[in-house]
Formats: sequence, structure tokens, C-alpha cells
Amino acid sequence: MKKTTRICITLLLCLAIVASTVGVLAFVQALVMPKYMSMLTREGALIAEYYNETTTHDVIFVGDCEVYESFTPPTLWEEYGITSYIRGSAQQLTWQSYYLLEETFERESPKVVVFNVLAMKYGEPQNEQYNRMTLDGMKWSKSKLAAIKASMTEEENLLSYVFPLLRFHSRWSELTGEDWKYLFSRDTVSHNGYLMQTAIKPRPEVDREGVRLSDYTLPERSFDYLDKMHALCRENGAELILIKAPTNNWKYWWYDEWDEQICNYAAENGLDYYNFIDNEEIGLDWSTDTYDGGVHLNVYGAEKMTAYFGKILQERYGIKDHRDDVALVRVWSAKLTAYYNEKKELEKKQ
Amino acid sequence: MKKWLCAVLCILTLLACMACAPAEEAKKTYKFKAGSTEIAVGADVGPILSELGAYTRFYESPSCYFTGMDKIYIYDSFEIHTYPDGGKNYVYLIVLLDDTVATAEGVRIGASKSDVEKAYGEPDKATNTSLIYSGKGMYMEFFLEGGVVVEIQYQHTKVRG
Repeated sequence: MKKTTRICITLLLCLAIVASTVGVLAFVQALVMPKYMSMLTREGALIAEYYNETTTHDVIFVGDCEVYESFTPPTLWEEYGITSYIRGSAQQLTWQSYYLLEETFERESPKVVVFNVLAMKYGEPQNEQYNRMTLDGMKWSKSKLAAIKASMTEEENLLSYVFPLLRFHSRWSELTGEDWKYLFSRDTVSHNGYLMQTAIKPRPEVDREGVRLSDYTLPERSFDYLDKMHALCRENGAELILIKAPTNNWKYWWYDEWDEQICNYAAENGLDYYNFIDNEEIGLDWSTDTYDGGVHLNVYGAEKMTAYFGKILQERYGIKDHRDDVALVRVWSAKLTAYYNEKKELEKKQ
Repeated sequence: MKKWLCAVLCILTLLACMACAPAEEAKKTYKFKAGSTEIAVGADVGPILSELGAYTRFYESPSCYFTGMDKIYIYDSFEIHTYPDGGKNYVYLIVLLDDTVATAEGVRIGASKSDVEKAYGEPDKATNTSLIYSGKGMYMEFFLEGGVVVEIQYQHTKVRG
């Protein structure tokens, strides 16, 4: 055999070994990564679903559970012809909202961005489990890298986000049928980012407030990222609207002192701020419109909230009714069908 | 010579810093006693609830950090907040609500700022409205209004509502 042939065979063999090693590692990584498909963990699947969208949106919501449980994009479409998407995730921190928004502007040009202000109370990274739910679902980009760097707790490291196998290898012994079933593809858990809940658990008649705090100053870091979010919206010709969802539970209490700081910020920066807590015009009934005792709205509450806010979006911000656009009608009709099918299915299970 | 002097100075500075910052292990654990029941931040609430008997009110809410529910057990003069972990519930906050109960060091609501400092010494952090004393994995906070204690909290350093 010629020397060059031997070298070629050796090289090919090496390449094959490297390729198969990478392939096996990629397979194992996909297997051990959390799938977030069960009812209890499905909020972890929200961020990744955005990339399946085939059309753009006039309104983008960012924020924590209060956005993905309080607004339903299918209702915004059905009642106002408004196209929207909720880029929300569990305990989404202000800097995560910023980087998600930065990434969103790379892909589309929304007219309005709605940010829920509850997360302003956190000035530092909180919890790896929630970081993962937001960050692992993002596609690789400079925004994702920056979001990871801004979000990591002391115990986390960047490498484990680049190679999640390093973080999740210990799940090997805990693998379930879900890990195999969703190895290559996932179910869609949301309706343009809205996570449906149909259960009813009334808010206690005698509720309580949050515990007393020693310092009510909202963290400077949160305001820095809110500044960045505002600048980003300005650069991209979008209006930034600040909101506080109508829910106010002792565990996630919205203090008057915080509200005052947000009101001042909004006034100083020429932004609109809507605090929906105790807003009776929405028509919420706390004995039927929450699924967990008043912490979050269920679908019935979210539909009322959305109907109320849709009117504001249309009348005050001139968001266009797209129901005369045949292509969009086709896309949103399918979304509405999926929405009502899930509603019916979940109601049957109650 | 200069290098040696710098090295010695660095070591001395380091030792001085270590001496100033009390090690976590050396810190005191402040506990609250309700009658004969001792309640500590971080303790399993199961046996505590059995000893205390019936509570007057109860609230629960989905936990942010752990799968399960955060709970508040309210008694006449204090409340206990818990978080779930591994099938059990652990205390992360104790709040004293009125002057019928006192801390183990004898401070109760209505005490003055100087009463607190007499019992606990110099606070680790102080503002016009609160005095904070760090303990092992927890801290105590005395809330003040007009120089008078209006609420006392025992809090976990890591878990917060």
C-alpha cells in the first residue's frame, strides 16, 4: 500500500472516530437535557417555542409568569386582530428580558413591547433552575451569551451552558419515558407564549399582604436594564409599555413603595405605566378567575385581562387590526383552533 | 528588601481582614421560643407544628424555588413561613407580631432601639427603620418606627419569600 493511501486511511479513521464520538455525546446530551413536557414543568419549554413562529408580531410581551399567565395572544387576535407573542419565562429577570428583546429585534420589528415590572425587585441572579428555563431555550447568539453571563449564580459556569451535558449528566440515573419520547421533537405547550390553565382555586376571602421589608429601594441594576430596554425600543422604533399584572399575592407582593418608583421612572422617561392591580374595569372575579388562589390568572381571567388590554393597545397605540390579511387569517385560525381544543381538553380533565 | 516588605504587609492585611470578618461557623444561631417550643430558621416545621397545636390562620402559595407550596402558619402572636424541600417543609421566616412574646434575649415589640442594642450589642447593619444582627445561616431584623420596635423577624439568609 502506498504511503499516501495509508495516511488517507488513517486520517479518515480519525475523522470517523471524532465524528462518532461527537455524535454519541450529542445524543447523550439531548437525552439527559430536561424536556419540560409535563404539566408541572412545561414553562421551561416556552422560550424555545418562539423560534417556530412563521409570521411576525406587532406586540411582544416580556417578563415573568405574570405575562404568560395574564395575556392570551389568541384572544388579542380574535377580538382585535392584533398579532402578538409572549416571550415570558418563569422568574424571568430584567436582564433576561432585555437580552430576549435584543434577540427578538434581530428577528422582527414589533410596534409595541410590553414589560411586566414585578421582576424589577431582583437585582442579582436568583436560581439556577429558573435560569436554565429561560437560557437553555434560547438559540445561540450574542444575546444568549450575554444573557448567560448576566444571569449566572456563583455556583454556575459558562461552560455548562455551552455543553449542558456537563450540568445534566447526573440525570442519567433519573431518565424517564418523557426523555425518550421527546428526544428529537417536543410538543407545543403554549399558545404564542401563553400557558393555559383552566383550574379554579379562588383567592382567600381574607387575604394578606407581603411581609415587611427593611429596604424598599428597587435595585439599581434592574433600572440599568430597564434603561437599556427603553433605549433598544427607541432604536428600533417600538413603544415600551410598563405594566403590573393584576395579580397580587402575599408571596409575590407588589409594594406601594415599588409602585411609586416605577411611576417616577415612567414619568421621567416619558413611558406609560399601567398598574392593573385592583382595576375593577377589567372585570376579574377572584373566586373564578385564578387557578392557584390568586397568584396567577386562569384562562378565564387571562381572557378578560387580554380583552381589556387589547382595547388599550388598539385605541391608544393604534395597533393594527390584521383580520383582513388572508395569510395571517390562515395562520391565526389554526392557532385559535389549537387554543380552543386545549381549553376543551383541559376543562374535561377538571 | 522592598518585595519582602510588601509580602509581609500583604500577609498582615490578609490576617487582619480574616480577624475582622467573623467566620460563618462562629456566628450565633438566634432561635425563638414559643412557650416550651423552640423554633429555628432552617428547622423541619413538622415537629414544631405538632408541639404548637392549632394555628389560627393558614396561607399557601406556589414556591418559587422548590417544587411545592410555601406556607404561612399564623398563631396569635407570631407567624411561621416555610418552604418545601424533598417532601418536608422548612422554616425560612419567623415574624413576631405583638408584645406577648419576646426573643430569647428578652426583646419584644415596643422595646426601644437602645433596649435592642443592650441585649444584642452593635448591629451588623443599621438604618433609621431597622437593626440587623447576622447569625449562622440566618439573621434577625428589628423593625423600628420612631425608635421603637414594631416587628421582629428571624430570616433565612438564602431563602426569601
